[in-house]
Amino acid sequence: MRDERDFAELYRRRYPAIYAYGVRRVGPESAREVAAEVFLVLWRRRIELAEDEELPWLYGTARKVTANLLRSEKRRSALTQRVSSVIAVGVAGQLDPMGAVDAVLDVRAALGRLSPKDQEALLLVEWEGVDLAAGARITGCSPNTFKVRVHRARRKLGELLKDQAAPAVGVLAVRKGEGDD
Amino acid sequence: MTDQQIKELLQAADPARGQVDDQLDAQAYDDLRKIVGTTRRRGKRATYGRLAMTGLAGALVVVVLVAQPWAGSSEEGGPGTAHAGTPPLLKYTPQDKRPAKEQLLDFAARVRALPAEVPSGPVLRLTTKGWYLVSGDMTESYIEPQAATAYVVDRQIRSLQDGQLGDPIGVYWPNELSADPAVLKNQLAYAHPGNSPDSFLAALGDLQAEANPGPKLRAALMTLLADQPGITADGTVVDRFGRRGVAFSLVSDGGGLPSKKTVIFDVKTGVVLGREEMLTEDAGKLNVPIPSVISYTSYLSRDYLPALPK
Repeated sequence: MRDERDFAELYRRRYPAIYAYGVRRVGPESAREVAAEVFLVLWRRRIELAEDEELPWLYGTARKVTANLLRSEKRRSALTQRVSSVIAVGVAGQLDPMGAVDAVLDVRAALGRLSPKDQEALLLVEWEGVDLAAGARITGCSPNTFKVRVHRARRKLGELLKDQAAPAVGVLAVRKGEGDD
Repeated sequence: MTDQQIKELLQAADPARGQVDDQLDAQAYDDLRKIVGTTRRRGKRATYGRLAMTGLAGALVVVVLVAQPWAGSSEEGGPGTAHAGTPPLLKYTPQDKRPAKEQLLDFAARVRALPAEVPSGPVLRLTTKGWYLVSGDMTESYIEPQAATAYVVDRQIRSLQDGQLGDPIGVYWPNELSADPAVLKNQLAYAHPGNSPDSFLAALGDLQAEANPGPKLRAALMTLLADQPGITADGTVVDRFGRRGVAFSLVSDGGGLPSKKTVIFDVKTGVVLGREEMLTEDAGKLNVPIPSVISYTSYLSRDYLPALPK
């Protein structure tokens, strides 16, 4: 990144994705903080990123910043990973207080029952839309390990949702249909 | 349920759905102005490739600059060169010269013979204190060790946060954990798959944070630890809270850098008193000296209550 103009361009291009990552993990207020910290690190460390490296690096950094934020705000405990894994669920509830869509609540509850690593892998793929190679880079594991985590998380989530309530899927399907016009 | 159905459900449950605009708002632009108004690091530019090669890009082992009681950072030439303060190293005193495996199996046999402990109430309360390093030099904040209290009842864990009980989280363990090491190994692998030392230690740690293993289960855990390749005996130690223990360690690079991971058992009961992780060979780009403790968790107490606190 040669200068301020390049940085600003990258910032405009990638800010929404990093802010969304923060919203999903720590809620909209703290998401601002996460995004600002991530881009501050990039700016101060003068890191050169090829375009296809931008999101993996930014998400990887956001992951660490989020962990630090949760910890510094004493939201983490001895059950740190478990707790953090349900924060997204809790935050989601705050964001959508009236959205008592059974299916959505079921999904959020089921997500909270996945192991933190599996949950993280699945959500990076489904929410952030990263591919396996990028996910592996973000989480610091091999692509194969990441792939296994995603697969295991999908399978487990499917089992949990199946166990919870078949109608949940139906409710969502109906709602989806309502919004598809 | 198909992958496509799961995808649709997850997308519907996305907390950022409808919350994020592709166009930056005034606050985002304001943050941009503040960022470019800060001083950039001098010297050569870093590249993602170099970072990734160090294993730091996704390392679990990361920096937190720590405050008391060991917050003695030493300045060596300006920002970015001061070493993070890390907890003091524990002093281990080797006493038994037998191989670690033999010591552990012998210890396990003694623990297995201890009388079973009867819960005095339905709610298990666990208290811990721990610290670990997070995030390299990107965040320059000092973080204190964290105390935590959790309550376990009906296979649900609730942590106490800021005086409030958190939402319950289901435990991963089967109703009855087996005291047969072979069976227990599979049960632990449910939440932490794989045969690596890191998987086993992670499972052991979770179990300590979520349950109160009885003597037979503790003996089975010791037996599984004894079977871990590369297990070594460190000897006796007084832990961070003045308790006398006996320690065993494994070295792995599961966190991105080779680190020594130590489990400390109470010398008499075999209860896990704590776990420690220490960098012994290479700090990579972490801003800590070698050797350095980079995380610890001390399991302070386990007791039973008649009901959850209000």
